[in-house]
Amino acid sequence: MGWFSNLRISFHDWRARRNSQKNRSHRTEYLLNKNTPFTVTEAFRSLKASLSVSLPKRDGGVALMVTSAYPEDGKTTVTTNLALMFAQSDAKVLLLDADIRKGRVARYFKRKSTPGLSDYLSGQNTLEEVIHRSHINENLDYLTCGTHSPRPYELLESVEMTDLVKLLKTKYDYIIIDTPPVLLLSDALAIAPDTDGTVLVCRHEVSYVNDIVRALNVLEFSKVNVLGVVVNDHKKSKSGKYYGGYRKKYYYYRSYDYTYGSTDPNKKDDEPTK
Amino acid sequence: MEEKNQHEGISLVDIIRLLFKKLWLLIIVTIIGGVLGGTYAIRKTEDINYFGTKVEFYVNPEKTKDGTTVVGNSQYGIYGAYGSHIMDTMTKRLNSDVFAEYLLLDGEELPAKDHWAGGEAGETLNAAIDAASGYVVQKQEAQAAVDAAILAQTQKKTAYDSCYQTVSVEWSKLLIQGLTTSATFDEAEYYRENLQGKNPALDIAITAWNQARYDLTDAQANVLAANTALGVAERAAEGPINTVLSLWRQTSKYKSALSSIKGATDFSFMDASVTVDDVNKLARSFIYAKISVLNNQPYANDVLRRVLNGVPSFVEKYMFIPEGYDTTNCVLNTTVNDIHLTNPGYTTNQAIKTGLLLGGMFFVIACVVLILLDRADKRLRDYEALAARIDVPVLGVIPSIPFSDAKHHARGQAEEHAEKMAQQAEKENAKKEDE
Repeated sequence: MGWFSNLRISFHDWRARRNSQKNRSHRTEYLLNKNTPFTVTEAFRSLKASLSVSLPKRDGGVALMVTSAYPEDGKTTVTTNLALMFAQSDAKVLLLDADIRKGRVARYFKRKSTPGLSDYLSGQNTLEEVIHRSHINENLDYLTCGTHSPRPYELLESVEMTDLVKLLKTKYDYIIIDTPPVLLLSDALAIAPDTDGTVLVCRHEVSYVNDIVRALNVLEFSKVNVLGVVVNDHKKSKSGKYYGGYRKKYYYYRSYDYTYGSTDPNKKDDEPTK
Repeated sequence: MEEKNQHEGISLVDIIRLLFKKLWLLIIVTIIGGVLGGTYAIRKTEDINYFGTKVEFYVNPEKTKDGTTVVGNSQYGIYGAYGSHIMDTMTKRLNSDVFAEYLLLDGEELPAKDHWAGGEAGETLNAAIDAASGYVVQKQEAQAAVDAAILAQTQKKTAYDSCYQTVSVEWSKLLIQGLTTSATFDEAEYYRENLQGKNPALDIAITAWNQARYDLTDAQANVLAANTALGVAERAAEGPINTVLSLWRQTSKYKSALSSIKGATDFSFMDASVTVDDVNKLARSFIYAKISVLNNQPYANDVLRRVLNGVPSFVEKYMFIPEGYDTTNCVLNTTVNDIHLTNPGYTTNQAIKTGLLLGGMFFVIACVVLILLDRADKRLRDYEALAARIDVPVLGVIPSIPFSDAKHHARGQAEEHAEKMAQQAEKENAKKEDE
């Protein structure tokens, strides 16, 4: 039945790619901005709040791994914007792109992915050379994936990686790690022991429930601390049933239309809305 | 991971919502089904044209052949207690093979020669027809003789009655009562002994009456003789005619012709309750003949002609004759409508019916398919159900980012980036100048 699984994976991959190609501009690396709808911003804020509570409290920073079952579930977008949201609350945040094979975090910041994590782990660059400050928020730094390596699993499983995470925990409050899909590659499992919690991202009306369950099973079998699931790209529907609770929340949120970036609910943004 | 087994129920509201979401698809599928059904029906029925008409026959068992109406309400008459049964039986006979064969014969005793079979069977049939023809002619001549004798008898009866009237008038002048039409022996004797010569008019009338009586007696004897001869001729013709009919019925053309003419005709009557009301009486007195032929107008015309000729004689011949009445009388009641197309718009009606039926079927099938596909779709749709199933919390639900905003963001990001680069360049320039 291996060929059937491969066929299904290929089909899933094709369909996810097709779905994302339908709204091609969604493939633009989206970052929260002042034009982002209030509901989206609040969703990320709410996610951040949930994770703040879920993540175990300890001295030093907390490493959070974000993964998904299959590609094109919006994992990198969620990871990047989540990191941005953490950074907004005056926490020191590092966004780490551990997807050495196909990392895309660099694109969000209009930068090349090299030098990056793989270059650091292979000893070719120093940490200062690979960590960059984002232009969006001064609390947010990012570490791109680096040069493509033929042995990404080994690099992520290495002692250098473990030491890196430990070091980063001393410097940052939150380390948000973007990893490859767990059902396609085992890279995420290599880095999981170094993290404090894992979040599984899935895509509404794209990800299969059985795949989500399998991904969770894989993570739990590897003794990963699964904090929960994030549903991405949730579509608003006229039917309303499937999105029952969400629809109510949306209604209430509309009456509290806080603009992006404002910490004071009574203060509006200085910049004019474009 | 502990997975909770959940029984996924089917909610009617969900199904309706699902179907409403795909309403456009259901409409298209229904239209396709309707068009296919309509097209199929048009192709099947465009050559289906029924030609026919309706005819009414008035049946009066209380009217004799000579036109004299006999007033009565015999329970055996149409208006009597058994009237419904009588009419029912009559229409069943009209719908039977017996009348169908009667129509095929078209008023003749024997079928036509050289028409029903070929080869040896045809020759045998023709020979039988030839042999029976002579007997049929004799029978017809005997029947004509009977008719003539009856006519003569009628005339003699009329004369006899007239003479009787005259004798009655003259007789009454003599103030003698009790004169009977039959003129008993005693009365005749009484006249001869006591009255002859006393009134010349009476003498003349009685003489004429006696003569009329003898003529009537002769005419009655002639009728009796003619009927006897007719009986003989009928018995003689019976064998040969039955032989012909027997051979005729074995031919394949007979069977198909019988089936055709039987299928083209339908007889009925209106069963009205028996009351003294004339309208109800009249209602039961009608036999309705419906003629309908598929795609053959000339044949329909031929069937109509045979029905118009055959029904009255058949009804008069076979209908139950009430007690005390001579015969039943059956006449055409209404103006005959020409054979015409009886199913105008049939193709359109069938197309609409079939289109609606097939469209409805397609709609139902489409609904079922949609529901099955929906049930088979195991993608993530209800995150609450997912959370309940996997016992792992849903930490967040990120809405879909609007398309326009993403585009706007892409442009905004580019502008922001350019602005920041400009600011950075300014800072560096300022730094250099300071240095």
